[in-house]
Amino acid sequence: MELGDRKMLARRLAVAFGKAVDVTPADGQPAHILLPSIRLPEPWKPSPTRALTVWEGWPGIRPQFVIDESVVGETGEPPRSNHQVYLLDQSWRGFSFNFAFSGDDPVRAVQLWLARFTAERS
Amino acid sequence: VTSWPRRVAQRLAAALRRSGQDAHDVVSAPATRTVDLRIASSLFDQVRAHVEDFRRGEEAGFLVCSVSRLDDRDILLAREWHPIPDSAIERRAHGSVLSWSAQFNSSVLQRAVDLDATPVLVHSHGSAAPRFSSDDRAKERALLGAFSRIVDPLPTGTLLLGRGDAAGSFWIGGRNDRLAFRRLVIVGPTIDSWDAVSARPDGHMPRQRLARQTVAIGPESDEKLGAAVVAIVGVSGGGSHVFQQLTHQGVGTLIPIDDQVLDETNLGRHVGAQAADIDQTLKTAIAKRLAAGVDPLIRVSEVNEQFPSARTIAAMKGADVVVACLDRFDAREAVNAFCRRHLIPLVDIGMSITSTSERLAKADGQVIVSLPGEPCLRCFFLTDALLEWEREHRPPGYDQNPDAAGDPQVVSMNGVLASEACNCVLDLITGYSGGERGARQWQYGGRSGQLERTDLPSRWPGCPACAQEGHGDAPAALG
Repeated sequence: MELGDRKMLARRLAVAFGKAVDVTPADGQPAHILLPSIRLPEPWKPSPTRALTVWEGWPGIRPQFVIDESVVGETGEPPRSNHQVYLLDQSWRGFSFNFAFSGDDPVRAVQLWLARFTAERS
Repeated sequence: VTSWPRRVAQRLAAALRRSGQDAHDVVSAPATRTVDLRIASSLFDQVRAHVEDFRRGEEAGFLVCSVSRLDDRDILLAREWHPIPDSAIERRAHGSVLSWSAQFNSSVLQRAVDLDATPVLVHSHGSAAPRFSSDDRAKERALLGAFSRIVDPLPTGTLLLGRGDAAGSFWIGGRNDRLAFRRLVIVGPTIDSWDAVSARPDGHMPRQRLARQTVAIGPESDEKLGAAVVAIVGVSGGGSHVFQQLTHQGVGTLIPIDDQVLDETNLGRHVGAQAADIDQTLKTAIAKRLAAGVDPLIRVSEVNEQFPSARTIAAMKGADVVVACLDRFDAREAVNAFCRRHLIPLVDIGMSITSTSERLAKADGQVIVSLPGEPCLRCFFLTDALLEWEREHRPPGYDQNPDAAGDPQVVSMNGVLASEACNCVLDLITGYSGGERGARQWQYGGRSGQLERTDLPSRWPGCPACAQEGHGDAPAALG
């Protein structure tokens, strides 16, 4: 993704989620946008927390969405169907979560990922 | 050094405000951390070609390096080489001292800041046991004191190449008394270590248990193996073989990484396991016990977690070689990406057996050696299509499902691959093949018994792992 497109993406996400930082590792690679302070639905803690989004194949393909490994529910357990993901030299928590998505609204794409936390209230 | 670009000047001002001292304040204190510099051999060849060409006099340049930070040392990872062009050099302007334009310094520094990286000045006097001259020291004080405040908290420094050895002086936060240069590590078909003149290891006592191997592969092999650190990710079917052979080969420090306890089905292929270990003993503990039985002086730093936990990442950063013995393609992709970021050679083994009508139909395996500057696994083997197939047919957690059929395995076929992988490790550390091996793959047919070596395909220009080659630690923005 070109620098201009990445900047526009980060701006739109920043408006919706407070702050968004372009941490793409190299030109020509899919945009990596960090959301350093994203709010999760109750009862997931800590909230706000950080999430990383990777926009490979966007807008044809939904973004990859991973969150900080410390996020747990009321029982102290992480969300179900989670797995560790290595991105930018850190370990993140990814999930399997099916949702229908079409269109090119990046904010909507992240909101649909967040619905995963509403669907499983620990 | 004048006319700093705006972003660089802002950093310098902020650093000076933080520290409240000028660039010449030096307080005597012993160095508490060491510095290694790791570089791909292809890039190092470019550096030497420039700084060892004395036809016009002394030459120099800057390596732009990222950092891999360990508890006790910083490993600088060379990413780019910026030779000082002749047009920027002012020859004989200051006697014998090599001088160049402030604009060139500014451009290199700006590039380093843009990459969240740090510059390292490199030159050579063309002799062994190199020592910095008084002119070198004066230049260093003027330049690196300022540089180190701008790139703070990253270290910066200067490296003087010798003949198989090197000298280095490294600065952090305006001081050069906190970091001691330890070695330059050149990563190619053989891992070459140019130790600091002041930090050469004490004399190594040859190990009698390795006498026959030393006769076979050379008198220096014992010491090199003793100093080597090898991480093995996954110490089960293939990894337990690898671990066992590396203990016998004399590797000094082994890092087995695995979060599983031995189960009964592992006993058919897990080297070193005993019936009493079933449902009781961590696979890493079995590895540690095995090593102690061969030689109690082998250092084993086991990590009972699954890559990429924070502990596994921290443990693997200091490895000279990583051996991946994993079933899942996504896990192999992650280890491959890690090795690229940290410029660590990767030896990857994988075996796939399919059976039909109660007979073995196919048994295909491969060993792949991936080196910085050469194609990685993601370039040609771990393709988008393969990873997508796995996501669809074997999603994460598939292997944790008690109803999932276990993958077919044969201990002796795993052993063939593991033995060849250990030859690869042995060659990376000792160079016994004289350059005949290097970054290649060995394909194994378990039915036919054929082991065939092939060259690696070309690098993939869009490879996401290669795009992060030498980036080291996570970007500062991630915290």
